[in-house]
Amino acid sequence: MSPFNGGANQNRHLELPTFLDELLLSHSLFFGRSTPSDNVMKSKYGGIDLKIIKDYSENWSSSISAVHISDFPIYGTRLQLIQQRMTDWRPLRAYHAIWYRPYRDSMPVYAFRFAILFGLVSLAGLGCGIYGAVKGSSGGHN
Amino acid sequence: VLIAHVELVDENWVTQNWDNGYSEPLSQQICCIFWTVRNLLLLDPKKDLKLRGNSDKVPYFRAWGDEQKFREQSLMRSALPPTFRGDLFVSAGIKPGEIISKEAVRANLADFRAKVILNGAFKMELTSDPSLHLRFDETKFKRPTLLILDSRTISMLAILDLTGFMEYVAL
Repeated sequence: MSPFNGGANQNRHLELPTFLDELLLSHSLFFGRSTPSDNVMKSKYGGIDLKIIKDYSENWSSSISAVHISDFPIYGTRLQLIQQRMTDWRPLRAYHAIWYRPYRDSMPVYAFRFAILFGLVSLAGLGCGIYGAVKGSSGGHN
Repeated sequence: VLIAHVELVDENWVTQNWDNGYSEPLSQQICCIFWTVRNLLLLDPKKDLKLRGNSDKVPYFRAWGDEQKFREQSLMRSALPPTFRGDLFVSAGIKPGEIISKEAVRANLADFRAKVILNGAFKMELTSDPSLHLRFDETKFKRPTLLILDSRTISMLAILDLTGFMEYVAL
C-alpha cells in the first residue's frame, strides 16, 4: 500500500490534500489542544495563527484525540523520532535533574528533588541547631 | 476567401521557413515558458522573484535560507532519477527516503502539546525552513530545540500541495 493512501484517508474524513492536511494537523497537535500562556504565544510563537488552527480543528479535522502516528504518512518518521527522544531523555547533569522534568517516568526526578529538599531542610535544621547551641553557650558565659 | 488566402500563405510561410530560423526561436520560447512555470510550481527555487524589503530585496516565496544547491551536489543527490514530483517534495522539505511504506507504528501522541514540551527538557521554536519542520536543532547544546513551521510558510507550502502533483505519489 502506498504511504499516501494509508491511514490518513481511511481514518479521517478530510478532503484536503495529504501534505497540507499533515502540516495543519501537526500545528493542531501542538497548539490546538492546549496553548502556552498568551504572553508566551505572543512573544515566542507570534508566527502561529491560532485562528487557522481553530478553524481547522472545528471544521476540517475529525477528533484530534483519535489522531494516530499513521495519520502522518509523510511526517510519521519525524514524529516517531520526537517520541523516541521524549521517551529516552534522561538528565545527564544534576542541575538538569533539578530544572527539567523527563517526559516519561518522572518519579526518579521527583524523588531526587525531594531528596535535595530534604537535605536542604536537614542542613538548615543543623545550622539552626549549631547557631542555637553557640548562642546558648555564649549567653551562659555572660 | 481573403482569410483562407492569408491562412494558406501563413501556413506555407511556416512550412518553408521551419528549418530556417523558425523552429529554433519557437523551441527557445517553449523552453523558457516551461522552466518559468516549473520554477513557479516549485516555489521559485532559483529565487528569481523578489520583493523590495526595508534594506534589501527578499524572495517572494522562500523566506527560508535553504541549501538547494547543496542538495543538488552530485554526492548528496538521491540515487533515484529526479522527477518533478520528487522536486516538489524536496521543495516542501521532504527527502525522498523519508517516506517509507511501513506498518502503522503505535505511538502515543497525547503529550505532543506545546505546553507539555515546554514543561519538559525540550524547547520549541518556530522556523521558516520546511526541511526543519518537526526536527531538532542540536546546535544549542544545553537544551534540544524542537522546530515547528510558522503559519506563513505553511500557507506558502499549501501552493505546492494544491498543484495536485503531491497526492498519492510514492517517491
